[in-house]
Amino acid sequence: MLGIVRQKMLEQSLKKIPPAVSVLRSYSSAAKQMTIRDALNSALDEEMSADSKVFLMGEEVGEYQGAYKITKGLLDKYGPERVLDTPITEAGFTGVAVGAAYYGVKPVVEFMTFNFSMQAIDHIINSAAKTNYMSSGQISVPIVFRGPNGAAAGVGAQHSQCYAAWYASCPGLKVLAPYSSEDARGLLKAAIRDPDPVVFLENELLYGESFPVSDEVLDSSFCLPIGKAKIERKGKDVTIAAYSKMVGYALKAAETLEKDGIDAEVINLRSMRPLDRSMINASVRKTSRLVTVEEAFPQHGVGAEICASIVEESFAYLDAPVERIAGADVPMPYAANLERMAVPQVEDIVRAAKRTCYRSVS
Amino acid sequence: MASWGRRSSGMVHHIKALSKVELRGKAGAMKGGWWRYPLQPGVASALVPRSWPCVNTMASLFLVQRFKSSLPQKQVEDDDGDQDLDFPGGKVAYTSEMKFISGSYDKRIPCYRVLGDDGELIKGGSDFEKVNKELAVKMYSDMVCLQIMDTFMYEAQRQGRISFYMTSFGEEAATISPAAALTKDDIILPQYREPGALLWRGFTLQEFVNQCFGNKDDGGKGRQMPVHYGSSKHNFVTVSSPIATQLPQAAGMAYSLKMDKKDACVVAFIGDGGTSEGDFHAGLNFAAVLEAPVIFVCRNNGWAISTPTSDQFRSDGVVVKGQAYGIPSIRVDGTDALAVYSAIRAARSMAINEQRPVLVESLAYRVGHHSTSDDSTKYRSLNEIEHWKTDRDPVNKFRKWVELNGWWSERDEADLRSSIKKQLLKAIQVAEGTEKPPLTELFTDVYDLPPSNLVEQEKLLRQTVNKYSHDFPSDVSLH
Repeated sequence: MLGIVRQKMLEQSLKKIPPAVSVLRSYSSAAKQMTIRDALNSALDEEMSADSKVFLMGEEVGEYQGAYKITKGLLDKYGPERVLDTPITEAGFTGVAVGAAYYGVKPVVEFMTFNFSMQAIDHIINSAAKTNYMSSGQISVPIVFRGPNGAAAGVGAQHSQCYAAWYASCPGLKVLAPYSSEDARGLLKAAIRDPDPVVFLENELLYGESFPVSDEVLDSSFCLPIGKAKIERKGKDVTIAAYSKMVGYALKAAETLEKDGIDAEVINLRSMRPLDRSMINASVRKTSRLVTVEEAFPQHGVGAEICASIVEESFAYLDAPVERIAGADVPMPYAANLERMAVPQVEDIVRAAKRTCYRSVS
Repeated sequence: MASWGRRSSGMVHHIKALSKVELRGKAGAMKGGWWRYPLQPGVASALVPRSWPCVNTMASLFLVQRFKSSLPQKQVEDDDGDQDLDFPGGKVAYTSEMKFISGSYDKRIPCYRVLGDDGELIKGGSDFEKVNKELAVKMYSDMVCLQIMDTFMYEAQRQGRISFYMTSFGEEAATISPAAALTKDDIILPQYREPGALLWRGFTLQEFVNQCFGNKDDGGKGRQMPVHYGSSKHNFVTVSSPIATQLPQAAGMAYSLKMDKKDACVVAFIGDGGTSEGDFHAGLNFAAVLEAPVIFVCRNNGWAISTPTSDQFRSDGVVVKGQAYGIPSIRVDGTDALAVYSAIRAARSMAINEQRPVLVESLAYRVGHHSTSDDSTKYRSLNEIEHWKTDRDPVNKFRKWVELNGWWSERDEADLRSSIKKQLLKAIQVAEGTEKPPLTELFTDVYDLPPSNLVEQEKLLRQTVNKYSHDFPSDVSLH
């Protein structure tokens, strides 16, 4: 009996102790894990809750909970007026959303993949991007276009193209590409709050991946600045600049390179437009070598733009020519072996980094 | 394709009655009786006896609203003992007779008008929205003003003073009457031939001319080519060149108005050619599905640059397309200021009270060339142009009616015309002498706030212009 009483007293006194245990746990950097999917979903949920002008549009975003379940639960929570399932017409619903943005509400348009945004690209470029300028500031377009971009797995040519370079070349747009869950939350929130049109390029294969998130990231006011890249891994021998899924590949490549005594600095670009030229240049001035990595087609790509920026501003600092790693210059094939050869692999990045360091790659 | 018959009188009455019709399908026996079944599936033939007596040769057949689908029910047997098909989207009556709906039209949808060519009210016509003296005089004055502005500005382009211009000859009533029928809270999305609407709303001659000259007083900051006007103050969305993009955008704006529960609608203009764009389909379909309060006004002027409507579509014009989307539609004489006014008033009431889109096809010949880059005598006869210019001029027609009412005189006419001419000449003179926009305006409004790269670019550009001023035109203001 005394034992039970003592146990009960212990339980009670334990309850009285402030939750130091859980606080300690949350201060740990690897405390919570969050998938990209949940990160995007929570960001949408919080922004819709905070601003009644925000609404979602797209195919299957409502009843189906989203083609990739990114908008899960939002129809139930916010109702059909704010989560609109649209007929199959990218041109149509993009035009409708642009018009709504002209009026002053804040649409978040989902493309099932950015490949289908081609059917709406006139509304994105000629209307959304240019209207603020053409109307001399009278009509702003606070719209976000989001969806999976780039290669998935085994989906063939019309479902695998990366549109970062296409959209990033157009003045008037802002173009973002998150890598981690922190990126996904912070950048999507920033995009929704931004008064300019934003193209938000996600990646289908990353949706299920988990990343550690701090309490700060989980806070509903969390926001990342648009136009700033992030140094994911500090290094001194070579700069590897990448975006979206390729950041993960670059980090893996950096691990391999470390074993060979090459200390790589990995930059997560986060923002294609505006491009964080100052950070990239500062990094290259430190390391003197650059490898750019993208899954997209090589010609006129993000890597080409970064290379031009380095040549213009930090030419004297380069100790080796810039290396570009990109997807093969062919429409994406379907067969698994061919597909693997058409996209960059970690080994390609490792070899490129070694080349910049004048190491033998054989 | 089914023929539609409508009584020419009481057209507006029909439109008003439409709103009260829940669902009513009438099988009509047409001329020759070749067509016995309801046009649209979803109407149980039980609603109406098969042999509907043909009262006059133009039996009406209205199918206003699509059959709203209900929860699946047991198969219902109608009077004839036929079963219905219970299908997603609503019940459909079966038939044992295989019959294609004709692709061509027996009789075209007639065109609503109030005034005859002589400016007299059509006998037997009724139910048009009455226009008082003040409104009529303003409508008429603005039509004259538009005509004179177009004449002068076209000339100015020919003289090399401006680079480009588009006239509205023949379509003065088609653009000013709609604006007169709307309120200032209704948002207009133009195609590019609707300066009449902006003129009605108070855009001044000086503002028009400044935009064409692209000077520093241009509200558009010299960003756009001539006639690409825009003014959020006047609820007139900036003209965007790609054709028909404004149609789904209009549906979006209307949906937002609906979410805000505003007592206003959106009016989107499109030409006959623009209805071929994919955005026409998307815009109308979406507006119908979203139940958005938007009026689509198609200015069918017979020509899309050099493409006549016979090459544009094979349907009975644009009015018949509305029904395909579940949108009530009307065809109206675009040269008749009063008819257009009435039709738009009715359309606005329908759009706002019933929260639904409406389609208005207005027929008014394009008297002028497509633009100053076009010479339409190359693809159409001078006789045709001359006929529409003199015998069917909307401005003349309306003046006759206004004069018949005793509201306008020769003296008023002379005074008005000389006043406008004087104002225009002054406006052109002032606009020509005004500086072009300063360098800063190259970089503003790309984004809400100028990004660092543009700030840098501007600084660099100033330095370059200052250093190599001889390489740059002298009228580049650095302020």
